[in-house]
Amino acid sequence: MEPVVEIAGVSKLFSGTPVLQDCDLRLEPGRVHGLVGPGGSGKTLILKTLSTLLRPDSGSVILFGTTVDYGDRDGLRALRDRIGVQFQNLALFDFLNVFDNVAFPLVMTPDPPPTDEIDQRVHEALVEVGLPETAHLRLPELSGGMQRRVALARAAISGADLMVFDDPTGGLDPVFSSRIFVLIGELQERTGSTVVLASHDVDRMTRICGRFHVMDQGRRIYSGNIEDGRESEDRRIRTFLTVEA
Amino acid sequence: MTRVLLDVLGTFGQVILQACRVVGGLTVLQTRILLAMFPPDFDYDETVRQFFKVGVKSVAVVVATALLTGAIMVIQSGNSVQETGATGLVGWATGTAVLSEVGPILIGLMFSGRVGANNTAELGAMVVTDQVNALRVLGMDPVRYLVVPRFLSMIVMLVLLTCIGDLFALTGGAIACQAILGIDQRVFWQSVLDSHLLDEMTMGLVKAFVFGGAISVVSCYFGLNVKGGAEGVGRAVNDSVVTAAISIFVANFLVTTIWI
Ligand SMILES: Nc1ncnc2c1ncn2[C@@H]1O[C@H](COP(=O)(O)OP(=O)(O)O)[C@@H](O)[C@H]1O
Ligand SMILES: [Mg+2]
Repeated sequence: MEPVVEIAGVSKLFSGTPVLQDCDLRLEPGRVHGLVGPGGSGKTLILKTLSTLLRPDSGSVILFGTTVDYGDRDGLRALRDRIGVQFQNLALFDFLNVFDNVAFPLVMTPDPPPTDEIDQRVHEALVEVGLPETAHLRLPELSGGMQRRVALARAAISGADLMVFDDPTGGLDPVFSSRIFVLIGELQERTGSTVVLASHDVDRMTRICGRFHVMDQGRRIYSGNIEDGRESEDRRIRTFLTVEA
Repeated sequence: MTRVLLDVLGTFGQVILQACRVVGGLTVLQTRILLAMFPPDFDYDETVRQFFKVGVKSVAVVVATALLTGAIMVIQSGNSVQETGATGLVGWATGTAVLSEVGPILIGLMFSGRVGANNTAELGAMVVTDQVNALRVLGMDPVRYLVVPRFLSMIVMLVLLTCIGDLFALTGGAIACQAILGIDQRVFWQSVLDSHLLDEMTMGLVKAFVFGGAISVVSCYFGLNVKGGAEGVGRAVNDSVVTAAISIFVANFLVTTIWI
């Protein structure tokens, strides 16, 4: 099957320091991909690259069979309409309340659905992440964990073809983490979308991720299933795919 | 010795390069703002939100600045007025200076320090926390959604505030006239009216219009171009305020020259 994401030879320098180095990544459609690697290995940056938000210095990014052209506004917009992102640092709009944040991707489309449908879908999304009574709250009234769940609801609400979750359970307690992973798994099954999630929680990831990609020092050093990875010759790959804190 | 010279030249060159980059970036941003405005295609809710925010933030500081500026201008001219006995000129002197030069510049600088700095910090924080990226991936253009509303509200608000400021500056002048110089404030008001300051006032408001545009473009530019975490935001606010002040003086010079 044609991959949803095909990144080839991507490099990026940040003020002289290479942060992505000749990195490639292929994501086949219709499954949950797990992205692991130590902190600072470039997980967030590669996720931003495949969301078209980070423009690499060199290399190519192909999404849904289309090569990303950063100068083509309409083309970019068409691609972005098919992508939903939950950012590692949440990126919730602090000038809007919970409801408006989650509704934003629906409201801001060229032809938004009717108001009752938006109400309904936002309500359902909030129930799913366990925050049914929070719609009217302002963000500062929410704990960090609650905000993370709002960000998740916003990323998932439009049912994008490609959903990106960067550290969806960071700072959440173990019970809730499990629940979030289950939710993401169910979301993928229901929508058939391609999901990629970065996390340190390899243990819980194995329950939903059919495929793992390991990053180290700005490079992808492994793609495959967890069992093969755990028996890899490369000690780094074995380490990152075995239990982490 | 030559090394020192080379160092100095190198630093000088870097400053010039950096200045060119900023001017280029500002020009690009200004063009994109105009493209988004004609035909109008930007977010109305955000624009309304900005109008209120900008207004609320700056009214108090503008009123205070204006009252004191007017008073100081009167006190400054006080000596010569009293020596020559030309009390009738006090309104003219104060009015001309305040309405066309000192008022718009001081109010513009205060506005920049309050609203512009705040705007840079706010947009910078949105960049650092990926809120701007979140907008982009949702297909929103940050210029249309964030910058144009700020551009419009800052221009309109600075012009309005300068009108209010003019009034308070003259009031401050009148109060100082009576309280400090002991000249009846009716003499002051009469002198203001007799001086036909409409032209000065118009020029002042044109300046406010231009300053508002400059402050918004500069503050948005530095906010959206924040590099690296929270320290980056601090640096950007600093650069933004300095650059806005420079543009205010340059714009003031240009408007005055063209006008006269
Ligand atoms: N805006 C930035 N400016 C400079 N360096 C950055 C920036 N963002 C990330 N980096 C650097 O890039 C590297 C990879 O970062 P990141 O993708 O966030 O890692 P991960 O998500 O795997 O923890 C890190 O060394 C980080 O310091
Ligand atoms: Mg990260």
